[in-house]
Amino acid sequence: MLRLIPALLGALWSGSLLAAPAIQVEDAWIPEAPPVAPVQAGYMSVHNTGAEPALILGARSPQFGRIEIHRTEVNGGMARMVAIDALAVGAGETVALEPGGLHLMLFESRSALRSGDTVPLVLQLEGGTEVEVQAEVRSRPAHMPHGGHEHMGH
Amino acid sequence: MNTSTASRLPLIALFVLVALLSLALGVWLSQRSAPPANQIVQVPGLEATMLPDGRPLGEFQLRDHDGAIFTPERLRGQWSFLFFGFTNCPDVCPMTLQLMRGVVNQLAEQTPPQVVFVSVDPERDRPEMLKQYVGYFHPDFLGVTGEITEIDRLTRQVGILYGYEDPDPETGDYMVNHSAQILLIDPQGTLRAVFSTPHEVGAIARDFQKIRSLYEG
Repeated sequence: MLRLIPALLGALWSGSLLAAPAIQVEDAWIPEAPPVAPVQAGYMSVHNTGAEPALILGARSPQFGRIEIHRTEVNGGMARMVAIDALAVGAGETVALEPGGLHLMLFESRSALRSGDTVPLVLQLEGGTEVEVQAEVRSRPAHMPHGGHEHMGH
Repeated sequence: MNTSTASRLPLIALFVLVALLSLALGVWLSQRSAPPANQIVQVPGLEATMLPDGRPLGEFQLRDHDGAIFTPERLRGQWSFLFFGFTNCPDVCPMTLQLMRGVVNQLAEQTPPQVVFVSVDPERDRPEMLKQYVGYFHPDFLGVTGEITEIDRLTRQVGILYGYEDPDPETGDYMVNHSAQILLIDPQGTLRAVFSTPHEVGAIARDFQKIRSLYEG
């Protein structure tokens, strides 16, 4: 019986209670928007390199008053935005925040952003871990890889 | 005849009645909802859905971003792309505006089609702000909005839907759901084609040129 204890501790150590989520963010960017635009979007590719699922609860930035996670859904030609309370990224999985799909909705910009600017963002994960990201402001391409993607079955 | 068959007779009669009524309703609906002017066809080689005879637009009165009256008259004498949205929209609306900029640039014509962005959120989208918003994407793009009743007079005749979600109790922010189709209006002010999602610059530019040559040919 006593011999099981190290094994149990080991399991606990590698388990979700103690393992810090391993989130890597690539290609974080904010499309340049009209200076009068009341809101903006943030896109990025979020990769979970760890062995445990990660949950992104929110984000913050000194540049914006408030940030929410949203998903654009186009059903039967009708576009709507759905607020996401928490974004799950499974172990080994990559979740794309991209035009026409998941995105950060950025409210209350403190200044007009121009292409070439860099904006610090912090992703807040379940368990208290924070991931710092530098998002590049650049012009929105006219050709979107998944632009207007039809999300079915919601 | 046993008693169970007899008790089913009223039920059978009801079925027959419902069937006859359905048939009559079907015939009536088919005659009513498919007059030639509203016929919709999928033309081979076109992504867009075309209305061969077009659907003439009835009256509505909106305001453009300079405060000038915008009625169906403003859609005559040139081709127009018309689509609907709101500026508190971070993803779909700027994406569509940028796409239309790509279409106009790709067409590279001396007289490009008019591009009209209709805000279905007049409460927040004031004309002067709308002007700066659409002007960012292209100096010739036109922002249009107006009274809800007038917006509805336009949207209802072109099959565009929109609606407001409940405001956030803390911030008062609200989302606007809206049809994402892009409409093409011919120089007679007649709805000529509908572009459904997903939208692509090349396909829209190509379809526009084909539809215009069909129309002029």
